[in-house]
Amino acid sequence: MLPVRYITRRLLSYILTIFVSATLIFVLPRVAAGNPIENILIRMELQGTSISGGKEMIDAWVQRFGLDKDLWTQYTLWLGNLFRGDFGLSMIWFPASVQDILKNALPWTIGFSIMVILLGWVIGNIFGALVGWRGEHSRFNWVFASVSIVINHIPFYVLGLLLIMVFTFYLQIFPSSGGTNYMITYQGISPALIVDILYHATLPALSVILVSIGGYLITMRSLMVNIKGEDFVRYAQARGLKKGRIMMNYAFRNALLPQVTGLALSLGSIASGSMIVEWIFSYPGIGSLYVKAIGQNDYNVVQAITLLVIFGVMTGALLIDLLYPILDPRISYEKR
Amino acid sequence: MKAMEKTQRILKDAGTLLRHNKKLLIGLIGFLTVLSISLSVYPLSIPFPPVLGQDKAKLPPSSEHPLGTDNFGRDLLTVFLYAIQLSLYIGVIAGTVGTSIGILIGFVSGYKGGYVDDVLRSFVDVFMVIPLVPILAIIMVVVKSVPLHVMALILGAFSWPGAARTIRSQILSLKEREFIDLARISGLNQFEILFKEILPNMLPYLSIVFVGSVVGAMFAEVGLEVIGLGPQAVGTLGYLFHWAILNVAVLKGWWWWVVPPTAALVSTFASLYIITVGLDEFANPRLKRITGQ
Repeated sequence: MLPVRYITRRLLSYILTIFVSATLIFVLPRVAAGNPIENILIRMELQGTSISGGKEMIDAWVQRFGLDKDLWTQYTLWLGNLFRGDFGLSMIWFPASVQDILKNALPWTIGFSIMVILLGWVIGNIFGALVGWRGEHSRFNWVFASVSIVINHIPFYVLGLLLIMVFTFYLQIFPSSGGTNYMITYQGISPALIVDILYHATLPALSVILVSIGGYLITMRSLMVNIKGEDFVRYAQARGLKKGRIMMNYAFRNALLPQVTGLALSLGSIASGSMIVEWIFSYPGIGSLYVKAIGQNDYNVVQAITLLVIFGVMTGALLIDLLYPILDPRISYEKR
Repeated sequence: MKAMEKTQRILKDAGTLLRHNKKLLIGLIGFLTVLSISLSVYPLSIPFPPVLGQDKAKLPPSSEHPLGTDNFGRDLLTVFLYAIQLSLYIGVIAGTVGTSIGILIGFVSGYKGGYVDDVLRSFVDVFMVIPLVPILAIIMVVVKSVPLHVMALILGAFSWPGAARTIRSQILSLKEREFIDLARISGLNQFEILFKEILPNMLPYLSIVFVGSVVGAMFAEVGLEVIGLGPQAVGTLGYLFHWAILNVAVLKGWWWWVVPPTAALVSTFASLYIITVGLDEFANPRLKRITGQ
């Protein structure tokens, strides 16, 4: 039976979160410094920006964002545009629309994020389970725990810098930038292209994966140690079941459930961190665009990407949460 | 005389605690080491390491400048040690703000319960999952350069959800205890119950939450500064990375631009984390079995 109430509740909170974020993105910059668009327009006028049709552009903006009207009208106008996925024109890559710019970069980011998030989670949990199952008192265990604590506390992008130094500067085996080799033009999707993409993604992916492995390992390890002392595991041992089976079917499956929730909660910080990783590696995704747009005050692009990332994170978390009742049959969610 | 006896007793208690709680000890030693190394330079660096001139910029390490010089021509070791102080300063202010907001929301939510709790909890959940750096970035893009303490306040204003959640669940369990009933019967008002009865019993949790907010705020701080947002006039740890990236330091093999700030960040974060694990064990001794050595 589908837990209808749970799903409705979860969907409502999904919509609420996105609405709150969208409102925050409208309100916060205005609280901080008046009207962002107006600010940028003033700055452009002061600098005598020489974009062709600059005057028309400014007029179009004033009309588009309703700058001559009151805040409430601006807000509804803004929400309406957002709802249609219309983020306006980019200010630095003028006259391209924000939508067009994002369209090219988005597949890179989606592919990269899904890969690193899943790999980190799977590897971290397997290692954590093995380390935890071996028992809390082995020396091996202590070493693993300390190493993961240290690794887990390096920001992704900092590890990325170190990896570039080691693998690009000293060893010269991995490239430090780009999504593919820029010297080669590929026609359609070919095996060579895929190999090239993976080769270029190695270092940026490692910077995220290694750190997140550390985090999942720490929690998985303590979950396993904890579960090992539970009665149902003792009972399975007393029944004389094979060790491997007890570990996989009894302990690991149970320990995995909180880790699924953990995955949903960590999406936000992984997204924040890997955007900066993209920039450091000049990866052709939205993270690189984001930092470039920040550097050049392209407010429309910054705003669109912020919303997009929040939307992506929330949708990911929603999907994981909807999978949860399938994974854990004990929970009916009817009594919450 | 009495005050001295009291301090002696507190010190003795602290000593016993640290002897029995190795993690707290290791974490504190690690953190104090970072702190004292960074403070060693303080008297020399008021107001800030002097610019030696463009001809002295980007020098490699030498006996005169152990970590070389930065792109402005300043002694990098001094800049680095000063950066640790600035980053910790931001972290502590933001952590204090974040913890205070967390305490307020967690208290109200846990103690009031019912409708208020429902609303506050969904509010906390929303802020738990929103990716922090992009939201903060959109504020900083508009404000551009902000003073150090404003940056700290902005970070603090967003680093409370974890705190609120932990405190709420602690309040939920504490408010059912008998001594709270007793306090209620003896006529203490809600305010007094919260501050005189509940708060002192939550001290270890409050410290955990505080350290957690500090770490969270510092993580966000470094993230924003790496991409060039925040107080530009001073160099925090995040800015050292920012400059290293802009000057392509890693591709030139200038490890002295990157390795020291990395070491400082990691030892600060890891030691603070170990402190929270130690505090957690102190607050909840059963955990010792779970977390192992």
